[in-house]
Amino acid sequence: MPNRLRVLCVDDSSCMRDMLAAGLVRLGYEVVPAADGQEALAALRADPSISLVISDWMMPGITGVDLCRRIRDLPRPNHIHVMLLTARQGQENFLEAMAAGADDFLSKPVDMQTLAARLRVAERILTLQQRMQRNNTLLAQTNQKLRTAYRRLQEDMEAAARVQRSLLPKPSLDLGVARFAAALTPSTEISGDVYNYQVLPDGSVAFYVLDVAGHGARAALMSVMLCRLLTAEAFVERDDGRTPRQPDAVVADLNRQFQCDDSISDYFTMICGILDRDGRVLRFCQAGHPNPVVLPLRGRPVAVGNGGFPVGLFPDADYETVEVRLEPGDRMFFYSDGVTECAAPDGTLYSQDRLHQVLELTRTASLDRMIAAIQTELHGWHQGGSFDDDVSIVAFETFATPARHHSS
Amino acid sequence: MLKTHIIDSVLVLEVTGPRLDAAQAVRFREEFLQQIEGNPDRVVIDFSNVTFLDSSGLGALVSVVKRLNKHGRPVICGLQPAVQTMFALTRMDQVLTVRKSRDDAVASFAG
Repeated sequence: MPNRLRVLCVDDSSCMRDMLAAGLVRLGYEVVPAADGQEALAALRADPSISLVISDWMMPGITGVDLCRRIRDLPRPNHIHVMLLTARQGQENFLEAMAAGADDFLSKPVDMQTLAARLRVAERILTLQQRMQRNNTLLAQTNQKLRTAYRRLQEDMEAAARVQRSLLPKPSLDLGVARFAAALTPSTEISGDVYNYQVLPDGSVAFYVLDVAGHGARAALMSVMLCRLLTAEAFVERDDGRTPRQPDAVVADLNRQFQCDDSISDYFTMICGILDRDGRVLRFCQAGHPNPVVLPLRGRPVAVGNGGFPVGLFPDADYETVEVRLEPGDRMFFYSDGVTECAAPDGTLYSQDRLHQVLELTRTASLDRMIAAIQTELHGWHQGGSFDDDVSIVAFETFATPARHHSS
Repeated sequence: MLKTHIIDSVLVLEVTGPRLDAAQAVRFREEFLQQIEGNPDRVVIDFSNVTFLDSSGLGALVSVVKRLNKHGRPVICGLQPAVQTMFALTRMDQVLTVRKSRDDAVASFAG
């Protein structure tokens, strides 16, 4: 025997008990004797390592079947294998014994070879049960570890999301020449989309909308890094620190800095733009980001832009600046592909056409309300749950009489 | 996610589609790189079955094309409208060689 199993041997006849015990010892088992049911139960309570019981059926007081029942009621995590000894001429009720929880039956006088074989079966069952129990414990422990790790991850994500949100500008801001408004709905807590708008020293407004390919932690980390890089200084000439740069030059700089290696394509699409200090001319560079929409004060929404290379894919990519002339009260919308590629339950994409429709329908509302309306539309389109991709929208409305930021 | 054909000694890799998105991008790239382990110089990537390509899918495509560019110039064919729009928006149609049909693509290697 690999490890000496302890067998509780229960019989009211000391002679029978001793005979059986002697046989068990010869087979390599350790024997714990008990003269009746009470003693047996006490022994089991005292020694939780006992998992095998051989008991006589007919005993004064607690019978073998009663003992079975009481053993099954013991608060023990592991199974106890119970074998009952039956008299040859007995009229025992086997069904009742099995219902009480007996695992096996041996007829008296006990044949040692049969006993040895039955014990091997019992051991096999017990070993399997032990293994199962070990695995269950292991599973429970692993689950616990996973739960802890998941909770920690969740907390990290929430912390990261707070950092990200703190990097975003106020959702609605009067920037002198125009009112800017924006909204971001990440697909998970954290987002690969990011944007910003800020007044430059000469009174013009620099802004960008940016979408790192993919989503989740990897994209979010990159978007945070980009957000840190794209400060106001990135948008002005280095010599005088105030003349706005051409947007294509800003993007070309980023493209030189962020060339992904061949193995993975970490890249991003963006639009960066500068609205001049009169709020009448927008210059923007489009780098793979969806075409922005101009919504004139009077007139239908129209997409502008000629596309452009995403940033980080091709080191030699050329970028261009597109100019848009605006009238007072004109609005412009910039959005990530999470808007147009937002899928309905049947897979239909929201599309640029639908976006233009909702812009036209809500055009009399304030800029903030329009953005809210687009979000409501998208949630209704997607029908429940979080979006598959980050959704970001930045918009502005030029003022009729811009309150200029004169600076000497 | 890829079916391979050899037509006139050109390796045609047919993307089974219908989506090449964030969920598929990594597997697509792995399978693709397996298929081009022998550094073939004549490769056609057939996109006829792909109706949706997102930014992750595009990233995967560009990364395998860059690998292929070391030994030849792959040709992409069968762009569906949504993919075509994506190619135009990101100017991929200017850096990748695109042909209408698989036959055109294979024929472009002849002579």
